[in-house]
Amino acid sequence: MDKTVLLMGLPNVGKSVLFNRLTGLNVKAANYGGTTVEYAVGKMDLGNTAVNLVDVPGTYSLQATNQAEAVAVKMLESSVAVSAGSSGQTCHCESNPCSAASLGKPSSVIFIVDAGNMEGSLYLLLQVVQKRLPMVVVLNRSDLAREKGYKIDHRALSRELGVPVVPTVAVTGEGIEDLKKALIKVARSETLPVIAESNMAGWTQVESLLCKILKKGQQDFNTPRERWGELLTKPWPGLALAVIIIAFVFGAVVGLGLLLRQQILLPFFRYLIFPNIEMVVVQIIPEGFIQNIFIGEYGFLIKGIEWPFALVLPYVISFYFTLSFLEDSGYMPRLGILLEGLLNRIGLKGTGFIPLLLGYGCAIPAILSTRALNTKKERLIATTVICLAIPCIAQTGSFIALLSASSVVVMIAVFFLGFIAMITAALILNRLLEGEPSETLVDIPDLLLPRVEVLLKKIWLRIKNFVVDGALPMVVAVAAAAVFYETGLMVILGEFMRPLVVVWLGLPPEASVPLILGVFRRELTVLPLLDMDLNTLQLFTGATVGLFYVPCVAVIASITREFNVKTAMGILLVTTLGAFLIGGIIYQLGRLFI
Amino acid sequence: MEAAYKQKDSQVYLKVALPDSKNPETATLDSLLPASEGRVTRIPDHPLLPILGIRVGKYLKMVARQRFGGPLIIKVNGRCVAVSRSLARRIIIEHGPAARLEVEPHG
Repeated sequence: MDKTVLLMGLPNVGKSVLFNRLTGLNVKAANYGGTTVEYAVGKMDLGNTAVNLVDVPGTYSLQATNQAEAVAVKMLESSVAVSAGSSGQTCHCESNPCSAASLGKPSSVIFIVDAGNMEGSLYLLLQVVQKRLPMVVVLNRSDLAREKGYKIDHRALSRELGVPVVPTVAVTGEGIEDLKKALIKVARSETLPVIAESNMAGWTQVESLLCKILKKGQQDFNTPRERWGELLTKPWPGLALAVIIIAFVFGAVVGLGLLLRQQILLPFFRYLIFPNIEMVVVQIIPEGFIQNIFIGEYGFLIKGIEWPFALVLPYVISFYFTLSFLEDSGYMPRLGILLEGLLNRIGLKGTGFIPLLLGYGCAIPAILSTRALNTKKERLIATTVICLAIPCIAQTGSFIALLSASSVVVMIAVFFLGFIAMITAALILNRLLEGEPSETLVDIPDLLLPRVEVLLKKIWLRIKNFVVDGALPMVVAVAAAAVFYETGLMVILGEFMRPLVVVWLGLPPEASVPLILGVFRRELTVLPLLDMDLNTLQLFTGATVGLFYVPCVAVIASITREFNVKTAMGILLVTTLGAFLIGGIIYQLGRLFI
Repeated sequence: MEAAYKQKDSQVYLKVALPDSKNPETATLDSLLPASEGRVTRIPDHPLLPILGIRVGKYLKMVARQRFGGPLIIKVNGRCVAVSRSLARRIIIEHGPAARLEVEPHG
């Protein structure tokens, strides 16, 4: 079995970036703590041997104050069955669960010291040193130390601990080769760190060690980075800037998406691809049942391609483009802190803001990211709210496709309704669920200008994920719908669901199909409504039901994994009942006025 | 303008923060107003406080107080940390007469 090397350090010191550099893989990284809530495993070449490199979630200490930290501690003590996906796959690429395969006791540790936070890093480092494993220390973000006006004597650190210390800048790749050489050397010699009185774990030791290795410059002024960082964090002008930034983000997502859809993707498919598909299908398959499944009303080669790729993909691109920029800049925790006071009133923390925002992309990574929250109550509130009232980007794209042409007012009303429902649900849960509120105590990361290549890689990964996990299943679901439609099963189903769909919700009988399809993909509760010639009230009702309706099967599965079956069923029940209740009320009330 | 402000700040710092200052007064961290500094004298039991730099003897500066009852932003070790008000109420600091305090600390 290959040897296992652990990559450890404080939260948000660049472990995942370094991991990607060392393994050539692409795991998610962002500029705030707690991005890695599960570990990732990848193969790394060291000279002529391969080792398993494990990207361990960041910890502040080995005392494990939350779930992500507990994983790290267990891993170091080698009692956890480290699981790896097949052939160098990582296990937290947004949605895939891992298969279990033990990697055994770690043979060495790469420890990342953050040059921007020496004190905290050394405190954890001294605790890891006590475990007596061969190790290499990486001094990451050495450029930031220069900027802040101090010098770190990495040779002195190396002497004190008896381990090699390599300065790097992981985002640019500076020092990576030196790190590899040091790793090979350590693997051969198996030298252990020195355990002495002076490097026992404790603050006195940290402070005396710091005196030996840190050379403060005379810099007393704030760097522009610090000044901007503070401006964006203070209520004034931070809150005003937040409003501008949120408006800009919203505009970028909707505007960029619309531009991509109208100018590039829709014309591309409608004028170039679909005529050719139709031409070929007509020649091969005779007119009738089979041909209709391919290119008829629900023809999966037409709708099955148009919906995911021309209507949804543009927003997936524009959303992740904007989100990735926000994530890497270090602005998201600041926004959370600015709104913390308001979020507290609905039982959430400022940090709980990040999962909610991720939820506008996809609920699965959002639910995973709730692991970084401190209490079970906060996790449950965030998860329920994400499932109930936060549409994923595919759904948002569908809403825009359905509503933007006919009624912008309805579109705004639907999102507003979602917002109201989010607050109401959180308020109710905050009352119902037991648990003391936890104290906020978070480190605010430095602002960083995201690097284009890192951003592009990240966006590409997320688009790829959407195509594999989202678009392809959607093609299959549309094909199933085509069979339903062409065989006449849809009419029978429509009859069966008539009391609910037609009488209570006021939608045409064929609208029962999206309700079935929506279980598989959230946007499919909305997209089939496109071709049904609905009036404004029906559009509003349909969109509302779509918004609150069940999260897709993949989301239910991840809730079961993260919590339990009971929670998943509870959320399923609340969302379904909520959707029909609110949708029905809208129709019944609206009917009185029209 | 900026430099003058800084200078004024560092005088305050010297006055209040030196350990042998004549009349150190104690207060809770949540009563410190923005741009004021203090020295930590007592912290409650919380695993993260020492790790984020809030330890007895450390100097810290209040950067901002969030609206709507949100957290306080403290600068310590050159890094910003957000601390909820309820936790800040249990952190005791020492400051000089020149430090700006909120008149009604728990208001």
